Amino acid sequence: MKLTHLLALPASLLALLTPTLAGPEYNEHLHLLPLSNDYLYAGFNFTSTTSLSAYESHHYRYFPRSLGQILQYTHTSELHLRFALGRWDDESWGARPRDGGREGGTGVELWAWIDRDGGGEKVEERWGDLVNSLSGLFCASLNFIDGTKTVRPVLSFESEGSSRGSDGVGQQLLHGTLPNEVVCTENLTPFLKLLPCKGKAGISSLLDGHKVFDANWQTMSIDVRPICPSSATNTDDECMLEIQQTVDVVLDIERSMRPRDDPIPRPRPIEEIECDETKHYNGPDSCYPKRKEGAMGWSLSKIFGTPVLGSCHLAEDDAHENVDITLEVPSTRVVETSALQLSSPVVDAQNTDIRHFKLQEGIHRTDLTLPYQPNVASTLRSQPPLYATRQITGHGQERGGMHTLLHNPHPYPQTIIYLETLPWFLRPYMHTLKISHKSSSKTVELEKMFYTPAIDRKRATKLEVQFTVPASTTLELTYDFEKAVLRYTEYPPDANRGFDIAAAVIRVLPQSQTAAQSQAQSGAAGSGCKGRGSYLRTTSLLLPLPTPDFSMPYNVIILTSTVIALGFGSIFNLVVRRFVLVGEVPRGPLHAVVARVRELVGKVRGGKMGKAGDVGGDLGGADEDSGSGGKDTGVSTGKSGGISDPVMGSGSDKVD
Amino acid sequence: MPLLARLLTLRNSPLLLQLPPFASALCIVVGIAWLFILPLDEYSRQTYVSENAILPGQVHTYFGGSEHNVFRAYRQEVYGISGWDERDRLNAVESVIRDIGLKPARQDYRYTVAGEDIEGTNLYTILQGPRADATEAMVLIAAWRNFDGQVNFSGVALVLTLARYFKRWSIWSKDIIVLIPSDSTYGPEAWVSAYHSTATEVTSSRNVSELPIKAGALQAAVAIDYPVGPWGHRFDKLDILYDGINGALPNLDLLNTAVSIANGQMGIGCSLHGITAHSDKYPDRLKILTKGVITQSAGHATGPHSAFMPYHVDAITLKTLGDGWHDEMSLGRTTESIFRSINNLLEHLHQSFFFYILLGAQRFVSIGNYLPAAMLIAGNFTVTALALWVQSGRAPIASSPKSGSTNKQLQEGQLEVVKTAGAIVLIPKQATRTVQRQLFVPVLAVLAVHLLGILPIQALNTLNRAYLSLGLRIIAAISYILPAFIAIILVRGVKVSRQQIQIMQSFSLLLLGAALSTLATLNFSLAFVVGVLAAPLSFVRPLSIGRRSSNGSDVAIAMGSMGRYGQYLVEILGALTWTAVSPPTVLYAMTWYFDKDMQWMLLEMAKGWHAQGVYTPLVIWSIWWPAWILGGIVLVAGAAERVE
Amino acid sequence: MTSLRKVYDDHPKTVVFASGALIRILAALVFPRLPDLLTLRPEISTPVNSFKRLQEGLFLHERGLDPYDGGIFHQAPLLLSLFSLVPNPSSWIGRLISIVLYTGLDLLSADCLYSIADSGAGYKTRLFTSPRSDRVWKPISVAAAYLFNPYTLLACLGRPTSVFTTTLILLSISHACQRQTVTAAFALAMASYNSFHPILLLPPVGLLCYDRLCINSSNSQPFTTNGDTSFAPQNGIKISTDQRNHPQPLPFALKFTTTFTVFLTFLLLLSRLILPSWNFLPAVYLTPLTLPDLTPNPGLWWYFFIEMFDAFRSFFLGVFALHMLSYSVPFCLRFQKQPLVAVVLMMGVVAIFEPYANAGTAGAWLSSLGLVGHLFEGEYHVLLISYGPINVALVSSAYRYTFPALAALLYSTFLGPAFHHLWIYAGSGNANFFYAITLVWSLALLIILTDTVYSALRDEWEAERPEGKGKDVGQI
Repeated sequence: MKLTHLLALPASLLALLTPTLAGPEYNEHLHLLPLSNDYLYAGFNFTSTTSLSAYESHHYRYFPRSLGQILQYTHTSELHLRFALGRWDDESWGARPRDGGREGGTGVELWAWIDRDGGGEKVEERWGDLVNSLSGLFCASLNFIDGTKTVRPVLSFESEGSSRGSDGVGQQLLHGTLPNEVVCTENLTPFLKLLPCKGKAGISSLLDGHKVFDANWQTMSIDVRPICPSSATNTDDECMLEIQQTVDVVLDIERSMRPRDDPIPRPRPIEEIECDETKHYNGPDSCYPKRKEGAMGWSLSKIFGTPVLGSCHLAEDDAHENVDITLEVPSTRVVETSALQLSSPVVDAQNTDIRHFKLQEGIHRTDLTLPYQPNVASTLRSQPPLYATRQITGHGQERGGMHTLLHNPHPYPQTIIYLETLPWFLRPYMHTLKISHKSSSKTVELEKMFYTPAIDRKRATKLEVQFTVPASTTLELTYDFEKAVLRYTEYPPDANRGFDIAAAVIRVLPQSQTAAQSQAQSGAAGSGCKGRGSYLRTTSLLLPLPTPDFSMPYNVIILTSTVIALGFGSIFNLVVRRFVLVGEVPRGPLHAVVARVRELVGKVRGGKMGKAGDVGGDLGGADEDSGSGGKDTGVSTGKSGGISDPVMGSGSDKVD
Repeated sequence: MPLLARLLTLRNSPLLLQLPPFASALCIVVGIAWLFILPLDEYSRQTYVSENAILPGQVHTYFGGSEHNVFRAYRQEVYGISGWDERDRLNAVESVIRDIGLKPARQDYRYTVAGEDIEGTNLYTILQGPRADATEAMVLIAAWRNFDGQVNFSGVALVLTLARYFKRWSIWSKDIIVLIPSDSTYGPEAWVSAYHSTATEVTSSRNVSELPIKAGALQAAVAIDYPVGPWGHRFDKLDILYDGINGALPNLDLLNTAVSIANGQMGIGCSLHGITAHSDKYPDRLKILTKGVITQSAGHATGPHSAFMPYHVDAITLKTLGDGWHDEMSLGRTTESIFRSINNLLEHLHQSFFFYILLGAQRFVSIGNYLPAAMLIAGNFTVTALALWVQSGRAPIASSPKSGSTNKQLQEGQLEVVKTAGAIVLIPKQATRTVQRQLFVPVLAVLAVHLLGILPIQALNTLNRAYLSLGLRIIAAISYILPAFIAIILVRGVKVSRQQIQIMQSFSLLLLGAALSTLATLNFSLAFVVGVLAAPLSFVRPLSIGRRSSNGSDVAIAMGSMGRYGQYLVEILGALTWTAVSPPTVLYAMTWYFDKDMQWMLLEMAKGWHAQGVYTPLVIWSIWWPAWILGGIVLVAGAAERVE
Repeated sequence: MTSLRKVYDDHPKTVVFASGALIRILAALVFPRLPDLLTLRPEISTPVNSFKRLQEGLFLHERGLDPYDGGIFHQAPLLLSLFSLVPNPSSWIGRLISIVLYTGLDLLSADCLYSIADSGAGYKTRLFTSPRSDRVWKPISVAAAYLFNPYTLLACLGRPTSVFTTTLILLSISHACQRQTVTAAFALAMASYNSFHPILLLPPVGLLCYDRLCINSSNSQPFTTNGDTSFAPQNGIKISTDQRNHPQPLPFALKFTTTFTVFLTFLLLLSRLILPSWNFLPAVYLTPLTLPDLTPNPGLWWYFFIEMFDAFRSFFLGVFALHMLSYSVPFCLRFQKQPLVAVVLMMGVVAIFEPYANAGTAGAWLSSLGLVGHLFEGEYHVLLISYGPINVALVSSAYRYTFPALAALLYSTFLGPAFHHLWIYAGSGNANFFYAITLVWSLALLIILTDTVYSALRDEWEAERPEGKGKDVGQI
């Protein structure tokens, strides 16, 4: 609605010529909506715009400089960044906020349109720069989004902006996910730093890490897009660059209203529990707790731990109705506001349940309180377009199956686009891909399919299929896959936990035009958010891989090499040598040495016997290897008695 | 090479030829004795937690206070609806779950085994951990009826109370699935199998519907068995059941966690296999070891946890025993603490032992220490097989009409012949030709008998319950007739020689040895028990009664230098043991020992085969039974020869 | 029984082949789940021959994608065009048809073995006649040894594409034995086109062709196959007389190699026609060298390169590849007297040391050992064991530890799947269990290979020195 808002303002367009008047816009807005069983949805939205000309001349005002410089350096024309945590409960909470257009899968999700000029490798390089600098900016390990986590979707995403001239033609869309990234406070702080009021004033002052990350479902998003009015109106330089930052959280009211000093949910004293007196056994010792009735009481300061501090109205001409807080509760519900002025109109014209509030200037602490109310007609939320769950089936670490259930609750068929990014170590078998009715296993044929198989250690698998879910039926999408065994250096420290598989992105094409692609090419500016249809994402998955033994690389190398050496050695030993009978094995040099030693022994003996032998021994000792010595020893051993006949024999042979 | 030649000369020494029977006997004796020394301190170890992240009993547990009142109320609820019929009961429990603020889900299952229907409905709900991203989950089970068939009043109530209590915590990094199956064996089986499959196909014996909602990968499961009515009952000890289907065991760390939390944190004593009075002495350890071996070798489910093991989900059951002073709250706190520990896990349990024999709650034997027992027993068959193979080399001479006394001269004669180079090929010629034919019939016989093993399996698993025991009787009768029949066919019809009989026995024993040693790595106890029961087969030799002992020369060798009568005695003994220790007789003996009804046991086995995927019948009927039949053939073949 | 034997005696080949085919098809019919189960077994299907991956490649190919632009499909392109003709094997009829196809392949291989054994290339060559030539296996028993080998049986049901390679290799050998050089070269080219490693068989097969041609040219009078060692020397002399009308070795080698190369390039160009790009070259022929996919298999490579340090990976890849290469030429040089032995040995080397080893190839090799069956006296050495020292000497001249090796094979066949289950499914054993079994498996095969080398050499030596028969020998 901000978008239409902007485009509706001729004043801003006109004022672009003199940026000092009213070029840059900044709006912030908080949407509060109590959900069933005592959950509260709070959607923060901060939008600031700057003219493209100012942006190109490095003239920043509300647009964050740090981000702007990165975008300019990496030639990124449109950027979408998501940090998400937790699960949105479709059954009880209904449709997702903003048609799921501002949420991401668990972890971090990033997609951007990058100028294609300079060829493919140039795009790769810019994408690398982008993720690296963003990871620095947001303290997230975005830099792990490399080639193995990046895909190029064709159908799933459309450029939200309308950059004049090149309608997404000169740009390349890249999409990367980081499912195992745990989003936490260190990501929120830089996020707030991008805001003009830095989370010190205005509704952004409510954003406190403890509360935001205690939520059941939470997503932060940053969307940068160029907006040019349709070329009918005016000249070229009035293009605007818009940055939207949103934080959507769903808080468990009871849990977040717990006092900060005592967060432990001890069993409440029995008095505080209201028992069901109707039960016959109800008594001092047994108490059947009643089901909670009515709507729980809450207030901003209790839930977020702090009231709204001041206001953050920056736009010069603050005349136009600038709504800060929208509360969506039944009109019967009592709302106590402290220092909040109801902006006009008091209640929304068409929907009496919606009340708009406006922060007053100069008021320091602003709060909003809804007391407990026993019986309130609960606001029924619109049904989500589609229910989707995805599971890995099968057990064991060798292979498995992907199993996605898609339930269309509506009485009309819906065309959806299903995008999966799979890491290379999950090897899907596309010939087993089957989309069939859950009840009657009647298969549904694909309308479009874009499939990029993975390359080991280089590229991720991208599966993008388009098909129609018939009216009020459940389809199941299944395929088999195989789990690869990695090198032991490629496993993370917690190898036995398994690997996270990114959530599947499901885009439900809007009713009016199921063939939305054609019109997607022709700039989505006209169609706006509705034209893009609504998005939803499944939960991420855990993929256990077979693990080798990490403790014994040396043993393995040694053992395998031993076996191979054994074969090699014995075979070549046989091949290079020739057979002879044992008898005719010639004596090696060793025998001569042995003979010599024996002789010496013999000589020593001889020396004991008599002088001659002694002399001979001396001679022998004097020149060992000379022929005479040989003869001499021969003789002397002959004298010194025949203990060692064979040796002597050999010795004499040598001599002769 | 020369060394090798030396070794080969060794083969020639008559001593070595006489050794094998004694060697294999030694193997058996040592193998059995091995099991009895395991309980000693030298061979067993104190248990310890080796996974760092699990931190058992490090957290303070808050379960108590007003939760106690809630628990009593829930127990009243459960007690109140226990009389109702299935549908109303389920609706009532579902409404309780809804009041807690969770979404219940159902799964119907039906097994049809031997004309008997096992029907039920699994009721479960998923508590989504705020910190969890639907990738991991742990399971908390309380079967409506516990393993003994009693209604699990307090167990179900406690689980519901815990669910309500857990919901308020924001610490859970894994989803918690609360599962309430109708029974303790087949409900969990149906649930976990459906949890891991895309589409469960309906067969004649098995109809399991799919799960409407699922969570992530299951990390661990804890079942609570506390069948105590609304009047309450304080228990004394916590019995920890850990045996999975087909003898699979949970990671020892899970057991250790439970024990150390119950013991150390809550002060509840733990026991195994229902043996509460356990002084950590040899007899008690041995008793627990034996019970463990028996339950493991049966391979059947012992509680709700058993079904999870084949899917690599570690699971245990906590069962309350005796009457002491511990109440439901301490059990609840134990469970809470266990779940906090599992919640701490970063990885799937993988650190500690998966192969162990427990001697007590805190004492175990690791695989390295106990595996040799089964391996030795399996090895004895291989030794005998090799020996028979070597002896069969002598067979053509031995079985030739010449008597042993002339054997010697014949050998010298051959020696002379051999020395001349030209004629050296004469022996190999006939030898090889004989060998070529000799191998054929034995191999065929062994294969055929092993294929026959399919029949009893089919019969016992498809017959209607009424005819089961009759079927077993028929099978028993056939198994005693068959060997003689085949033996006569072989000896009279096919005219097999003694040597071929030997080769046949050698092959069968080789197969038996290989199969058992493989089984020992999958289910140690089963391999051990079957090995011990099949041990006589390695001493079965053709009956040589009425023949001159020289013809039964191999028997003479087998029995060392015994006289003829001693040899007859031994042969008769062998025959008797063969007759006594047959698969059917052992089954009958078991029913007699545990005084169960034979039909009941066969029905249980059939259920296990169809509904739980227990492969014990396969081991009995297509590994042990064929080997036994072949042994019988060998035995009778001798007599048959005599007659001709 | 006797009537059966009579039928068998009348036409053994028909009986054996028919029963071989019958077993395979019956197995597929009686246990309809068995083929798909075996297709998924890591012992049979590896990344380079898996039937399921072939289906995937087929799927991509039929949808116009390049099946080689991805990490899954590494098999020869022409297989795609072949299998696009047979119906989809997911249906039972398609499965049956594929089984029939593979059964046909096995029968063809068995027939090749039969003809090879029939040609007598095993024991009677240009320069040499084995003194044991009377103990040669009957061709029918060689064929039977292939058809009823459990490993080849399972491989046939598991339908890995390496069965094609085996058949082509045997085809090429049999053609070589029938002196059809060109077709032999063509079959070998197809084999190495299909799975790269048979290229190592080029030298020995060439040698075999040459040898057969020589025998043909030197029209010596037909040998009587009652082995009498005294023939050997005369034979040698006679051959030396009509040496001249032999084909010249060097030109022949050149001719053979060029034929091979021409056919290979022809096949590659042909497959380029049916594909959008040259991607298939690295995908098919670089994968066995760089080993990107470390799926477990019975071979020696996978776990080694899982545990290998990244710095040394490429080095050891080179070493392993060269190691395989290093056997080819020495065998040819040493066994030029009995080239068929060299071929069989080389097949063994490939079966044992190839990066993506599988039980099917190993089984085919074990069966093809029957071609040189006269060399090993497996049963026979135990038959004669107790006749005094002489026979012991005979033992040492026979296969030395065949029986232990075979027992080891049996054990690893049982234990391999069990340990794989413990590692992958039960999660209770780790990877070392399965790795140890693959070591035992390879070691047992290696022992058999070494024994073949030993007894072949011994046989050759005893031909020269008959008096050395049965004596203890040393080597220098």
